[in-house]
Amino acid sequence: MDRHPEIKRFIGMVGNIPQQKQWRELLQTTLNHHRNRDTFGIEPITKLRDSLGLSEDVFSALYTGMFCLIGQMIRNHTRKGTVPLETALAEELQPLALPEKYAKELISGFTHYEKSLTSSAYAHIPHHPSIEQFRWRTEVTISTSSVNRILKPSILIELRLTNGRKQLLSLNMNQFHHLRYIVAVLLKQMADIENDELINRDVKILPGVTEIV
Amino acid sequence: MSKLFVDTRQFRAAIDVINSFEISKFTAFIRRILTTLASERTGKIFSPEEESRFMELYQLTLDELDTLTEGCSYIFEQAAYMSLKTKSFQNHLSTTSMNEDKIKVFVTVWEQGGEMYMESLKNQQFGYPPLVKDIRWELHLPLASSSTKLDRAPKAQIEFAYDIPKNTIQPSSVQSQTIGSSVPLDKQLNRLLFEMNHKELSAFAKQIELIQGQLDSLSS
Repeated sequence: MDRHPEIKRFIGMVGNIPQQKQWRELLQTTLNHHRNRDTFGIEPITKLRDSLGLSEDVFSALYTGMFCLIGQMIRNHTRKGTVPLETALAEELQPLALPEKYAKELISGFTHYEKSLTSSAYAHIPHHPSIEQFRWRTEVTISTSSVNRILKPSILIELRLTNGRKQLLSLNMNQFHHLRYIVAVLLKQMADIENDELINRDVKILPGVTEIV
Repeated sequence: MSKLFVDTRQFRAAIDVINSFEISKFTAFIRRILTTLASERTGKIFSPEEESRFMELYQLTLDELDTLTEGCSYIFEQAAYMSLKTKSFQNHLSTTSMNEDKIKVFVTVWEQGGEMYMESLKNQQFGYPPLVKDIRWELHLPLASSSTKLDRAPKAQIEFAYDIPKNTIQPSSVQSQTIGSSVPLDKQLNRLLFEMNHKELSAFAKQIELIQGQLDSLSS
């Protein structure tokens, strides 16, 4: 974390915020920014700058640094480790040598909003829509205009996805059995992966990838 | 045994043409009719070129060829409607004034191609709701991203590929997705892709099992 240039500069500038109150304001704004990344406007930031009364350069360095710092904290702690969160955070922040009261405030603010920070971080990743609603119906075609007695079953499904797309689909028996097979295979493979020792090792950095932060 | 082939004037005319048809070429002819019926085609059975060829080959006028084709199609369609087995088909044909040798030909052709024809009729779709043609899947393990790191919660992606046949009525929500694409509408296979984590996949699997339970109780 201390390799990040923005954070390094940020640490150097902490002296510009002598009051706890100002630190708290800065912290609050950046936390809200992380929680609502898509909808956050420019007004809260300009309001903060005015209230802190700092020059443009100093303020932008401080704000960027704080934003990156919280981003790093989110990044490193989305996964539930074996150590409780506060301890892990304190350990991580130690090399930065922040004033003790400020560090405490930072940790408590972070843990307070942990859930919404994590969920907004996940929402930020590119992903495909998932199923919001799954409705189904089993049908039997009794007869048609061409054949008097058919008695062929089929499945009618309606999927509504999280991106709003709604689709009605019909599955014949072959397709339905294929789907059932696929779901079983996927479940089994997922369970295997989650129980796999090698993948679940609690590592801090991806081996060999130290430049990507 | 109720009358399967209604004795109209047109039908009698068809029988007459059948009876006067040359027996050696008859099998190939009606087999051709049956396979064309089984394939999903619309409109007339024979194209104009084929019609003129047949007229020359079998020494028939256009009217006679039409009557003949319609008559044979009618016989097969009625047989498929009642899902007739070979024996009942033969019995029904004997009630008409068709000659024995022609009846034999019909029965043979029905024996060979009847099942396939009835299968294709059973599988005929209206085109709505769209029928799923293919299901593909992928299992993903996210390692890192721009905002998270080393999550390792596996995700499953499933994709349904479905067909929208041309000239069928679809709700406007479906049509809007295919506007503006460069592939012609009738060749497109639309796709629906979604992903699920472990919890969601378990819930989905549960639903699938419920459906399977319903199907089992249907057949029991």
